[in-house]
Amino acid sequence: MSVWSHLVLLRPQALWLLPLALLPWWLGSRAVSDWSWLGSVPADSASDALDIALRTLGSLALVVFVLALAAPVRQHDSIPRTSTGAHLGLVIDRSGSMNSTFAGRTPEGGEESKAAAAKRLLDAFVERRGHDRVGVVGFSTSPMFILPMTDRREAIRAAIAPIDEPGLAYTDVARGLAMAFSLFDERDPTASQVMVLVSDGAAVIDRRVQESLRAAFAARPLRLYWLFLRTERSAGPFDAPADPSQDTPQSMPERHLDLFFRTLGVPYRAFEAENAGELAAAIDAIDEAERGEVQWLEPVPQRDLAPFAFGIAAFACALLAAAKLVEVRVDLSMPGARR
Amino acid sequence: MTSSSAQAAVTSDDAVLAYALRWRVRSPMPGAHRGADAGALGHLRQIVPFDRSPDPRRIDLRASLRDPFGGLHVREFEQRAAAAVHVLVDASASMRPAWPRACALARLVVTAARTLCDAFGLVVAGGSVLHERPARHANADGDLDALDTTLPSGRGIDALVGAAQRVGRRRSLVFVVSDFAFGLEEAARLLEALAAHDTVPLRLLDPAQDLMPRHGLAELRDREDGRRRLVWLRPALHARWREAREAQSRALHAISAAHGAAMLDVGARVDAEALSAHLLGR
Repeated sequence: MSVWSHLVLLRPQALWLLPLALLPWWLGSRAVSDWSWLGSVPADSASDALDIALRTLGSLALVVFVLALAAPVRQHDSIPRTSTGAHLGLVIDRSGSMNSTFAGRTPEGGEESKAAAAKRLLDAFVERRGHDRVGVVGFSTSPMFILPMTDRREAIRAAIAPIDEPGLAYTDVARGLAMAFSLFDERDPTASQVMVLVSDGAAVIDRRVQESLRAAFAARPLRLYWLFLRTERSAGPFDAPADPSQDTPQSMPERHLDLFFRTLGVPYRAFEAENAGELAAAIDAIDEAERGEVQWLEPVPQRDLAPFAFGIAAFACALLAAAKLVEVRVDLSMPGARR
Repeated sequence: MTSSSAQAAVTSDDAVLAYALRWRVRSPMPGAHRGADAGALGHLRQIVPFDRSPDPRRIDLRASLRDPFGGLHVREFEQRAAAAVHVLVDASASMRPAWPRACALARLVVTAARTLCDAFGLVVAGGSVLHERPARHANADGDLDALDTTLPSGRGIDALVGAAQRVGRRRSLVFVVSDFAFGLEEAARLLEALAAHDTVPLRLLDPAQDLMPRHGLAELRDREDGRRRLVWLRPALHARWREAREAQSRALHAISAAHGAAMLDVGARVDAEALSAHLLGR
């Protein structure tokens, strides 16, 4: 895909002026000295070459100027890019409990809330993986589409920055996951697509919703990571109840969400973090695992090329002006000569 | 500008041109040059028997007495005769800067011819013959004025060569006033056409190159055919140029000498004394 294939003239009728480029070969604009006999002037290839060069330069200036008048633009387009990384969909729990510490208290003094720790570590993670494309979805009572899949670091970090702001009450994992699917576009099926669920709780997923999620996961080559930020003295995904009668999704939503993920048939790993250190280790593990090749299309805005053309024309004109400056004219009118 | 001031501007002073002929003029008109015919006055040429030149006023007593057979002898003198002087002026467009000098030269020759009672003929030819006056003794002022007001134009010297062939069969003194800004073959052709005459090529030098700056770009336009050429002036080119000019000059002088005509280069000023010296020193 060359640059030229995307060159478009917005005002092509200006090209009718192109024959003007022949002017330097027809009309002379130089100071002319009358000479009695050119046969007396020795042949000089350097002078002849200079003559051709100056005329060509004049033609070039006119051609480029006409092109500039024709308003050339490089058309709006997408450029494919390849890098090491993954398409990362971050699904972040924005429920109120994320704002408490791993100990389940409101952060005091130097204590860090789960959300703040997740923010700090995810920010560093995104910073470290410069070639990932990252999209962000938040969820609490309802899902929030925060950032579409992009490789703009500033946007990603800005999307991660507010996740430690006070959240809402409820944790609707299912709708958050459903929305996260819209992050992954279909343009690059070869990219490794990773969904990272960051939450400190789980919720019961309705049977019918389970089926649609199952279908959505089956439709694409996703890998799923669940970073579970476990609060002290609360249930985690790996806790099996002592009493089998207690083993219901309503009483142990974390365990049953984990079980649901395991039945999806996609590569899945769950990390349980009880403090910031474990969270960091979990994120490092994801970092280690996800080193695929990723391709995407970088949108390129339409670009006005007229300034370039004007610049070239101005440069050519400057050279011509320099030649004009060193031009000399020999006036042969002798004393008493009549014209 | 009047013609007199034009002349004053290009001639050094009021010096008068003098010329002498290298041959005996065969002409019925009495004049200032040594004639080929015998006449009553002038230098003694020979002593002949009375019956060959029966003029009792010229009887040479001494020679008659010296004759053992008693024959009468008569002195015979060289007839002073008037010659014809022609000026051929190249009026092609390249002569424009040299034109005042050409007019001044013609004026000098007219004055000299009048002084020596010679007939004066004039041919002005550029692209075509612009003015032609056969050799006559009549006043030439009108012809000089016509010369003054002529604007050199046209190209080539074909018309001049044609006019040169019409100058006449009688040997005359012919001045060719031109810048010789044409090929050597052309120059040879012109001199060939004047082979029967005593030809004096006067080459008006073009000071143009000396006025050229050492550096720069100059677009030169040929006065005759209008062709243009860009010249990148630089010392190396100047050197080559000067060399070429000198080679051309040498070749022209050589061709002139081969045709028995000594060429004189005329610079920015018409120097009558130098011209006289050239003419008398041939």
